Amino acid sequence: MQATRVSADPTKAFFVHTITRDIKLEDCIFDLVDNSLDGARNLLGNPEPSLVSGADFSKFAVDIRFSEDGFIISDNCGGISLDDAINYAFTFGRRENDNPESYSIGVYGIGMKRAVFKLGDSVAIRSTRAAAKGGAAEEPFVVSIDVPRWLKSDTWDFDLDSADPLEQPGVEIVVRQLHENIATEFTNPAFEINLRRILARDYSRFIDHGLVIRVNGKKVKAFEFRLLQNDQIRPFHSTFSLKGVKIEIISGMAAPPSDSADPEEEGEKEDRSGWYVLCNDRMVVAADKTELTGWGYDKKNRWHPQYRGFIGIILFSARIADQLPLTTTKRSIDRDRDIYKLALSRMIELTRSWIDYTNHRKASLDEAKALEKSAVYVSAYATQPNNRAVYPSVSAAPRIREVTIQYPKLQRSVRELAQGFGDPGLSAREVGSRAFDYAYDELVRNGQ
Amino acid sequence: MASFDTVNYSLRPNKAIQRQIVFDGMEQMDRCMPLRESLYIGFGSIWFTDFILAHRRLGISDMISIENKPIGAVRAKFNAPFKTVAIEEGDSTVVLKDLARREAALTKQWIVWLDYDGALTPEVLDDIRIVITHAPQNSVLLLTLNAGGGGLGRGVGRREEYLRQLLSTAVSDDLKPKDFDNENLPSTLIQAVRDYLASQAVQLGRPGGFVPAFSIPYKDGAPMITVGGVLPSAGARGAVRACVGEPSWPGFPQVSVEAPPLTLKEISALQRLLPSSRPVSRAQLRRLGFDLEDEQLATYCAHYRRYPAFLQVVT
Repeated sequence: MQATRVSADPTKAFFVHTITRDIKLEDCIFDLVDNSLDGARNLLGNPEPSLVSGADFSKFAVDIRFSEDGFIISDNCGGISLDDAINYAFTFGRRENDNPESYSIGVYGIGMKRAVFKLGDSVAIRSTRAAAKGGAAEEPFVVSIDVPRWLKSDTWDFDLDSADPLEQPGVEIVVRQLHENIATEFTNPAFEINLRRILARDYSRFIDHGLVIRVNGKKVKAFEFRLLQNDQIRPFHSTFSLKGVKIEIISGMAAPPSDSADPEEEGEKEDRSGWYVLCNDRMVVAADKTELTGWGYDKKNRWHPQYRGFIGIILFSARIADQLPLTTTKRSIDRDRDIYKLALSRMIELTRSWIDYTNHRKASLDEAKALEKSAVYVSAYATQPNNRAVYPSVSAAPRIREVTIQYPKLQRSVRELAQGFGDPGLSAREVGSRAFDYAYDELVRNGQ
Repeated sequence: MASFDTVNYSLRPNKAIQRQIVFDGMEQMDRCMPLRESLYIGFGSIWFTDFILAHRRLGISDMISIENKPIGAVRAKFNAPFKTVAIEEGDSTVVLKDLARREAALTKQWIVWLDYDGALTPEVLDDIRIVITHAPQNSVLLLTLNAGGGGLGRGVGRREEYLRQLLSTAVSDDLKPKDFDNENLPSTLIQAVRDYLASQAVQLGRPGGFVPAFSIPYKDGAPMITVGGVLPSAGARGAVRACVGEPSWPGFPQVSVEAPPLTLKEISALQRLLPSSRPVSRAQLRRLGFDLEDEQLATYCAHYRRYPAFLQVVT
């Protein structure tokens, strides 16, 4: 048979479909925020990430605006250089001569393209650079992409034209002709509230250090990671290094453990317990309660509502982003990396000591609650180095026998009774308990 | 006890104004998205005031009134104003679920007005989800709820917690305790319920989502709110948005509808000063020989064309 050549060029449409399919809309937006932050970090000289201290980000702002008519993100974080634009920002995949030693996270060089393709069909990316010291400013430029036309064209290149400068050196990305599902999602008020919550949580340290993130004109307030502390309760806080990767862990009691073991009861409430994993300042996994962060490892100690109140934060940092245990979406952990396996063994120990405490405290609940109540909140990032998590040691007092009463009642009647108690939001368990106390007072205490 | 045993529905001027605002809006909407062939679904009670307006002003004939008490249903059947009004006895959640299974009911768009007397409850949310899931394209959904604080718990903290429990991410994180006090609760509820409807429409996969069209706080005794909008097809969404974005759209009154009860003599005297390009002043009223509070006068003037006149009929 005569040797022939088979075309292995992926079609652009297939490529775009593949890279945009498996990523959530929110994550695409975070990729764009990360690009802005990389710009800011670059201007600050690429400081080493740390949970306890941080560079001053108060000069920087990221503005996100969206409606069903379009999406805009703009920043004042320095802009993309013409050189980077030509050789890096608009190419697919990373080129070999990129500077990898910057504590950045743009491992695969695909975030911005993926985000804009996910959003819509008409894209304009404008950049304005600040003048270098003693030099002239680079000419501002715009890359406009008419996605359907680009998909049909033979080339993978984008056209770069000169443009009017932005008000401040930075980047502005405007996407119009949103895809129908994206436009619909942008009409969902819950989407905005949720986006704001995740930004508040995942970028809390940057916001704490001055970064301003606005969503549709309103500033995002940082979520505070706080832990309880007193002489009987001490958060764990330790740092170690392995093969060029620094690992910093903080964990402890963010709230007293839940009294209820009923998953239904508090299921609706937002639960922030669990592990938070960061890589080079980027939140990769948040409030995780799965095997990924050690819950249920070896079929033991799966997450249970009794364990609510635990928070663990772990930061991996490395000059070279390839050394970090990240997946391609940058939204999960590659758990096969040795560096992660090592960290995981420590995380499991910390989780285990919390689980043990939630079990022990049941033997002397009142004593435990009193000790927990006397603790005060401190910012997790302000905790002192301490290589052993300390929880209250409670004495195993003899327990007074209790019985559990269980009975079915109409849901509507239970809520009406809750309303009678002045709080229609009471759980069924609480209504039952108050009804018992009420009857006990009426018939037993007052009846005597 | 059913509320019609305690309240004579026909004697509430602000309820009447709110109804007129809704039907003024629907008449306007009818010009960009025809509503005449809709199936009207509501709680007609024994008065059927909204049903009568739906028939007279929009020409809707196919109507279903939901009545949850047996005696109420018998009286409703007796009082039904037109041949085409059907009474369905049962809990609204059960009746709506049943309607969603009837092919005949799904062949035309719905106008559903769930005019509850009480506060927001999980059952109200069940009703909303059934309508959003099953209502045909270009349907209209309206909700009326009691916005008094009592129904959501005593104290602002409990109210906030309960509302967040019910509506989850539709309740903004930026709200402060004072947004849940008696004065601000109606506007907080309006926004939260409106956002809940919009987010449910997206989450339940309606291609055209939800377009808010009515946010009306009003008060005849208890503070009430009416919140509603359109569940358009994807193609009709633009036209519906344009329609409710018109400056003449009546569905978003700036202040709560709280016009005072007035005698016929006062109404006819005041009416003679209107319409007027300048606000009617209290001095003008005094010259007529009577007086009103500033807010009462302003609300009356804003809604005078919708203000009802009541007469006692001796039988």
